[in-house]
Amino acid sequence: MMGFDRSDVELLAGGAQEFGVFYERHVDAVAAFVGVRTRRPDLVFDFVAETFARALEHRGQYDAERGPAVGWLFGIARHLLIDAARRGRVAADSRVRLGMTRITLDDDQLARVEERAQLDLRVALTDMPADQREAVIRRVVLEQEYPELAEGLRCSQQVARKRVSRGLAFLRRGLEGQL
Amino acid sequence: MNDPFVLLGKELVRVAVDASPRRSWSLRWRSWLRRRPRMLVLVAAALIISGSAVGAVMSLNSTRSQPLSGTVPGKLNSRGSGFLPVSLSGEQYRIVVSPLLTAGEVGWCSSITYTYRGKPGRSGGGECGSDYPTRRQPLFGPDVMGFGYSAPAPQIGDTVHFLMTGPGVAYVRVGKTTIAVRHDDPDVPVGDGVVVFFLPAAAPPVTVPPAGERPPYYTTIFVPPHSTHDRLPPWVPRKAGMQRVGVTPAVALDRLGREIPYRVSGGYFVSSRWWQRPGREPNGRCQIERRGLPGLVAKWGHVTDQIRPVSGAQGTALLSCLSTEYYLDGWGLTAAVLLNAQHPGGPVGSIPGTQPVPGHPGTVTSMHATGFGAITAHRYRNAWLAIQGGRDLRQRLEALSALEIRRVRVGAK
Repeated sequence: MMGFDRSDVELLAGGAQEFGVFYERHVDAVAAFVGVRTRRPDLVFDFVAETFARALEHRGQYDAERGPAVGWLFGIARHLLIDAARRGRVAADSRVRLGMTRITLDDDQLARVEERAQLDLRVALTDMPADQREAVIRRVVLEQEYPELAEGLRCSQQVARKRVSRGLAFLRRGLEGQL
Repeated sequence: MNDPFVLLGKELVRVAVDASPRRSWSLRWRSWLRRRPRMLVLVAAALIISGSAVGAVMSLNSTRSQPLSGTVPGKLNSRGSGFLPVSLSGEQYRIVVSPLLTAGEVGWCSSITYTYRGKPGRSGGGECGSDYPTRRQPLFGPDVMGFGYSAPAPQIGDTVHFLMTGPGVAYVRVGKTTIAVRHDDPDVPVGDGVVVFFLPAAAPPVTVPPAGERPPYYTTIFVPPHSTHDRLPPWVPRKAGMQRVGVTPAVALDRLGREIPYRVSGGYFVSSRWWQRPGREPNGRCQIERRGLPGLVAKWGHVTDQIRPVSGAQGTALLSCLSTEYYLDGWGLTAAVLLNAQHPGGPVGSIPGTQPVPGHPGTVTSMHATGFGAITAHRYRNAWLAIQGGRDLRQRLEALSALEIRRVRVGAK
């Protein structure tokens, strides 16, 4: 595989193999993000597949100035989760448009998905300073309010806010390609 | 090679070969803003930071709670283009509450759906979590945590919001308006209440300020660059970067109109063990058994090793001690055993929004489904065997008749 040292912007502007690298780089984070919200491994896999299919379809729309690629992928996944809650099924529009073959999961594969979905986002976001990573995950992913967040971090709300702010700035500055 | 994520990666690479080439950045931006304005909001919503500062306070249309289903005010239903609906006026909304079935948890799922002339509407959303009212935390539901739950947001007209309340809440003050809580509604948990209200689409998001925060309240959001498009919700500043936005505070009031401080605390959770075929279901506190119907196959599930009473919960609270995912004729069904959460082993409360199924004594079914599916349940002595999802009521009844609760052990181990 090529491109492991390239940024997300470069990978998304590249060809099929580069998109494969982009996928490998972020699939754990997306699976963990979705896994927090649904425990059913078949649904987790569906959400992850559709998230990356949409990312592939719209890869030209990613702009690093808006934030890291993983945030963009979380945005897509979040959209799909909300849509699924409303419609009662996971959207497959992009996979259908792209002509992707449906992957039917057997019991072993479901177990692998479950395993991936239980990955700690803290591991998936290893490059971020630990205190900021914890704060960002609690705030952005787990959507905790600041009193609860501060309690969990054992710090004041002001410090918690600062950590989240710095973490987000860190993400925006240049995490793309390294998450 | 059997790793499904590896297979997915290869499949993505395969289709990426034929995927159309990207266009120039300027063209992409114009296209993005034209066709995907909602993504801007989602990106912004993902980066919420809250605090307190100057905030606008909205007036409401009414001091009486709206019903759990109805029509969004206004006659004109301008459907808009792209993802953001211009208005939800004329669409039918419906709020549905159902128990959380995940083993080891206690809580309610709630969702709002919209339809227009019988077809799915353009907005909606919901939340499913360890949500139940306590004395210290008397409000729950999607709006408690602020916006980010409902998408897409309309631009003009009114939006529908709702908050679930504990028994001790008589009114909820939203902005400057006090709304009487609807109690005794069969579609919400017994003992709990609900307020449903309309807010102009231009109103800032609703949030419940925790005790200690002083007005005026605000939320800080990250507005990405290039997001000055006029299709953004009106309350999103047209300036990139970290921006403060005012919020509409919601405060619980008791019968005398006194504020009930809202303190955030952790929900109920006990550890559960996960299993899947071909492994055997571990011995947990609860067990269900299949009799007949060989096509009904258990794929995986969760069992709890301990059952402890929920302390401080008000209103009806149901504790799931087992949840199993079954498949029948290609349809997924979730089965769960629900107990009285405050007094496990005691009489179990009713499931909101359900009605008896004619010809099936002791069985009820939900009249409307959340995004997680409709629920049909059979009452045993002090427990519910609930089935969610599946093809239809008939299939859920078929599954219910083939399953029975074999064990519920609530005492000390």
